[in-house]
Amino acid sequence: MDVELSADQELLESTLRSFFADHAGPARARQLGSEIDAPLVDKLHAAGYLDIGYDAGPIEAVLFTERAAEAVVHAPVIARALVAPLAGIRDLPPLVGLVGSANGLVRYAGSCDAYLVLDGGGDHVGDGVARLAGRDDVEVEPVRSRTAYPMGRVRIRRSEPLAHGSGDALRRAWQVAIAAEIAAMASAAVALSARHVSDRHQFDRPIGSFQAVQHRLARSYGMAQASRWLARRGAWHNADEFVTASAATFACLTARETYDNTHQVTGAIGITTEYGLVAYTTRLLALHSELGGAPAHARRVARARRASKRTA
Amino acid sequence: MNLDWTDEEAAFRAALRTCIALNMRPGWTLDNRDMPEPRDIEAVKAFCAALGDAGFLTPHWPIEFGGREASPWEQLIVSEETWAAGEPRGGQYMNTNWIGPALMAFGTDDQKSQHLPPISRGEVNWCQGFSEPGAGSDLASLQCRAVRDGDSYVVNGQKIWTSYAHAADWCFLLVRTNTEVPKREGITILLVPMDTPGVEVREIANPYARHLIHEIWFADVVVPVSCRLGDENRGWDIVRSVLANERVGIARHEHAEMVLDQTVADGVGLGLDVDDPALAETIGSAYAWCEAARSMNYAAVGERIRDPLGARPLASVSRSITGPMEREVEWACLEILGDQALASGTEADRQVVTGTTSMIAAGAYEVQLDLIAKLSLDLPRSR
Repeated sequence: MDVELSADQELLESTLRSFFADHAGPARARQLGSEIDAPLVDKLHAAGYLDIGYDAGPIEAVLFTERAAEAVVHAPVIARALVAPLAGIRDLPPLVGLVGSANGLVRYAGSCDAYLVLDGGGDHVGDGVARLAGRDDVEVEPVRSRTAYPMGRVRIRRSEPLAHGSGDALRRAWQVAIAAEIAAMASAAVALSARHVSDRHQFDRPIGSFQAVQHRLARSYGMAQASRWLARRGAWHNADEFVTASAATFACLTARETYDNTHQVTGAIGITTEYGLVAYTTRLLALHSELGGAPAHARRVARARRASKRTA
Repeated sequence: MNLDWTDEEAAFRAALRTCIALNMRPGWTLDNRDMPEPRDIEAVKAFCAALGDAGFLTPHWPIEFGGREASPWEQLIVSEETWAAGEPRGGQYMNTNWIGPALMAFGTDDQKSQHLPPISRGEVNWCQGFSEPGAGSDLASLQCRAVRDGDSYVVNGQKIWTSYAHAADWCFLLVRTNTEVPKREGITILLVPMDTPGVEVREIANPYARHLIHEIWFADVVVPVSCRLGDENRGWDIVRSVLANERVGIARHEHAEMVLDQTVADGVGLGLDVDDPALAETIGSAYAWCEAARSMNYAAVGERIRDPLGARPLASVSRSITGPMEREVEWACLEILGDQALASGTEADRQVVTGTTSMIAAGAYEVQLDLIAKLSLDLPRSR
């Protein structure tokens, strides 16, 4: 066991931080609104980052996901960079949407080149096989939402079945992506809130000196850290749904805890567009709800554990 | 980063598992860990001696002290496997995790010669004399007094909430030796034989377990200066490093998952519908907490390897997940079995004890949150 990043992985992390500091961020995402960040996608594609999961490995892909999420990259790049490689799905265009259910909301719907459709997401319900649909194979109904993601419903007209077992593999990889994105965004929300409570004075002292405030942020910080490490384990052990679904479950609990705590300690300024906390927290809401949210993930954890005990 | 166990680590775990199965008293559960019966005390020493003989008690220790300088990962594997088995080491996990290392780092040659061999052979039980009625979370406020008298100290005072005190041969005791300086600068550590005249152990009654907690009274207890660990009034520095080791030394996640596994099996045996969607959510969520705790524990071990003498903030983060995990598992067990969980003898029933105490013992949960606020978030000081 070795939980330390290698020198190459550390270099990747620092390079990504610098790259996203120059080319992404909550303010840029806010300006883009319902448009995706096409110039950034071109840069990521040209630099090979979207192939990182194929060329480097699961940890590198999850590191990319963490850094992209905390930088609020406003484009559907995680499916290509992390989800598809973990699921063993190749030859995808840069922008891929993830469709989980027939009537569910899809992030960046309408802006994707292709869609990976989970079992039950289209007309072919219940055969355990993921499907791939092109841009021209779907109808997109934009849906207004308070989350910072452009959202829509995607109706699949035509799709190609992928390999046997691809449905389960896609779901597990998606669980890992949800966990990694939530972990990074929760950490960023806590860091922003920590700066606020250190600067904001009431009763002649920083409000961050009150234990009630400190403990809310400390609890969220701890859960975000645990989510991060569990997501990394999920990426590594992506064939084990007990781990991947645990990662998604705990990340959803973290999202809720962090949403509540960061807004509570930040007060009214926290709900303004200008301040920036909502860039993270409204995305946490969306991530928290994907694939059925914590209840569905948790049921899968229990089911996977029961199955492993039966076969043991 | 490589999140697989190496072949050597896997082989170590398999051999350890065999050793545990061969040497653990049949029927051992976490109820026995507190050693409520004399035969439990004997069983702990016999088990630890067997573990020591096989090289599984202190593999991470330096060779000169009976170890083989194994990685902290093997230490973690020992903790995972023994906790999954109901911790048949009793309180001796403290010996190997932090009392021994504290002696190595701060003890005299004589102290090392006297204490480390018996610890590595599993022959001795220790307890930690830390908390007092007026010094719990604010441990540095401790008042148990030691006054120098020639070549000895005379100790008077009280310790409380002490685990394993009734079974202990030695006490790792924090005392106040100077009342004229800031509180952290007047604390000294004494290594006290528990059979010294004037030491009295009293069990504290509670509805959870026998010999779970005790108080220790010290009345004119004479302790030779040779039993002092480190310099006089410098005990707090040692304690700080000791507590960081304590926080990541226990693989509670492994035991908690075993409890859930067994409770689900018990539920199936009783004909309960454990696949009911609402109950499955509760069960799955509890397992997810266990996996989160496991992940954070692994991260903290990595931090320990990388920066053994640093502040190690992940140790507190790890503890901040482990405590709530035990509570989540406790309530999940109660929901799985309903009133059947309250019948003594089930893992669910035992988890009530573990869950209740987990956020209190070994540094209260709120203390860990304070440390996260300070070490990880750099928030303004509250005082």
